[in-house]
Amino acid sequence: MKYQIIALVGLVVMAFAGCSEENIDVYHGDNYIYFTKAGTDSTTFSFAYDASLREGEVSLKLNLISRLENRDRTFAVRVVEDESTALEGRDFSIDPQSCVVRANDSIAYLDIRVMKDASLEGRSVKAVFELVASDDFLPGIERNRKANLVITDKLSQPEWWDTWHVSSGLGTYSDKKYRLFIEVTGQSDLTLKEDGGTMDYSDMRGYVVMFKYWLHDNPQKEDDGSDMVVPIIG
Amino acid sequence: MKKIAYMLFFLMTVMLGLTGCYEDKGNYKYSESTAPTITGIPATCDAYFGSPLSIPVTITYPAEEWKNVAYEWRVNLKVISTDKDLNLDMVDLDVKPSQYADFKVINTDTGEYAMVSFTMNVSSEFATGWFLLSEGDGCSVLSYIRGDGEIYPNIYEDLNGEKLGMDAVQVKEHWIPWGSSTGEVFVGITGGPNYAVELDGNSLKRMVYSKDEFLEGQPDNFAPTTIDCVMNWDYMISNGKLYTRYVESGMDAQYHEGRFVRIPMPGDYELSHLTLRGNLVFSSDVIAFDKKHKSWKLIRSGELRDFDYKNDPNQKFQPSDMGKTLLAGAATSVATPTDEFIAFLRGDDGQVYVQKFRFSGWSAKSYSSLDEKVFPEPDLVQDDTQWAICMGRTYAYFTSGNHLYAYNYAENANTVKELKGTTFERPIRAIAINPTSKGEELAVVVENADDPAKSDFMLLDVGVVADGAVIDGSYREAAFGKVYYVTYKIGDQWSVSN
Repeated sequence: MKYQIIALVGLVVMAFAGCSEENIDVYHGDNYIYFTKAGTDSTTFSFAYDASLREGEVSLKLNLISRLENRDRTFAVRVVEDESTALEGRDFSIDPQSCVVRANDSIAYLDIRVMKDASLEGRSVKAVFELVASDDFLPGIERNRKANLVITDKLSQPEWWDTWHVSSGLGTYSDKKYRLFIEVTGQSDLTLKEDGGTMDYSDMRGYVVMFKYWLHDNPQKEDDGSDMVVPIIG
Repeated sequence: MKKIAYMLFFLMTVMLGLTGCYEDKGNYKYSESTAPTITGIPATCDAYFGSPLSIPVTITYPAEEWKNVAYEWRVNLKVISTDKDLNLDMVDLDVKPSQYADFKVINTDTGEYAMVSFTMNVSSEFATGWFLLSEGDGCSVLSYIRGDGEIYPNIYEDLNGEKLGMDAVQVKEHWIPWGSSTGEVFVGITGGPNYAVELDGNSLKRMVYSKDEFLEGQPDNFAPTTIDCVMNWDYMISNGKLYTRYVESGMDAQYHEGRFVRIPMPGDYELSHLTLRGNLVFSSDVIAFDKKHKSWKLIRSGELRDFDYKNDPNQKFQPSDMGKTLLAGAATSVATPTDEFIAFLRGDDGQVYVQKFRFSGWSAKSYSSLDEKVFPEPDLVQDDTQWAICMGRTYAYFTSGNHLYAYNYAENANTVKELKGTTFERPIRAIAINPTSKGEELAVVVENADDPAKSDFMLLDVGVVADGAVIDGSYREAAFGKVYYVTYKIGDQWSVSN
């Protein structure tokens, strides 16, 4: 009997609770901003695939923990110099005026202009950016407060430069050969259509032969002093 | 039991004996045939797809029983007409040679019929014939004479709505081995803006401008003069340089598959527009000539190489740095696996030389020289001498002013003889052999007697007996402008590949 009374009281309480009016809560806390990518990741901008490229633009995406507001808001970022090898003004620059979250927007971008300085040739530098408090935002999730940007003029062997290329196409890979190939043919990606790329087999072959012919008239040495050779038939 | 067997045997013998005495009094009627006679149908009829076809027939009825008759024309057992004379406005039959055809006159009273069977060759409209190039007003003019004699004086412009560029060098039919049996037609034109063109071998409509066939755009100093297609490779010569296109497909390859590399094959050379081919289907080599170094070159597997003199078992002549310039050349035999060639060259010493060589083998063919002779009449060979070399007959025809000569290249001949079957008395502008005629049909284009800006075309029977007599019905007077080039369009590569 005692348990039945307790259960009855409980039900009554619950029924009344279902009738209470509750206001929908909106975010009333501070506004936070953070990079979409965690600080352990990095973004790379390469000058290696286009010798004529002297500068470029990189946009790092930012997310908000904030109400939408119908006004532009600003965020702030600093360069973490002791973690960076890139130099502001030499390798990159940021226009503080561009650090804006547009009205009624829930994302933003940190726009960075990257420059190819002579000192970059054949190497990579890293710039580390950290969000700092501004009038409108506090730095958000801790592990997403920093972003790493790698600016590089360094090549690496692409996936399409496979065993067929080594034996019958472009030959043994070297950064120097790859760089020359890009310079001569204007092509950096020879991934075939059947492998998800855009290149016909005939065209892929054509570019490799084009480079071979160019090498014939412009002989080159590899860094170890050996002749640069392209084994493709044709 | 034994008795019964003897009785049966006796009875059967008697019956067989009696049947031998039977007198056949059957109601047989032996009389002369009353079937009509049909004349006027050729044993072989050549028809062109999309063109009209007419075969009038004459029917002679020897008997009065054939009062009510019907007619039936069939090709491959399909009735195509029920009229007495075959009159098709437009041939709409399968395009293929040697199709069975017949014509029947049917007695509708008795069901009897008379029939003549014949062979129907159906070709595309422009499958076989003669191409001519002549000088136009600021352009080149391509003309065509179809196999049945129909003339198309300005066929490129008529079919394509534009003029050809100036300085057309040659018209070259080429094929993909094992692929499409009908070749495409390349018109080598060194002048812009459109340069050379490729025409469909059946319709003669433009397929592509050659300048648009290059990876990363038209090459510098573009002046395309010739093209050859072999298994997996297409080769174009432009401004003396070799351009290659790798064709991934083999037997199922299509024309214009892939793109040419816009950088020429490197090296110090200048190739002639004249290239030689052996067997069109079974050989993948192209023989070229480097004018700069007066050397033979072999184009094989996308590479340009010298003739292999070192391993030539005969070493009859030095194929490189010869001091001799190629005048003309052609294959003289293409019986698999050996291709044999003849070439006429002008030496720096003023002599004319005749070289023979072969490439033989089932895969990578081996080179060997066969002979080099001094041409017996070098003075007859002039700057504008035209050549037409036979395959299957040991003759090479050449012009010298108003005269036509035959050079016998048989092993022990080396003789020159003037053809007397026709006297021209006007400059001969161009000659070419019909390769499907066993070397017995020679096209000759001469200056028109009344108007030097015009040309007359004729076919000569250059068989030994005819000695170059004009083939009846082939003469076309003043039909073309100032012609400087003529060549035969073969159509089906298999007709010259065996």
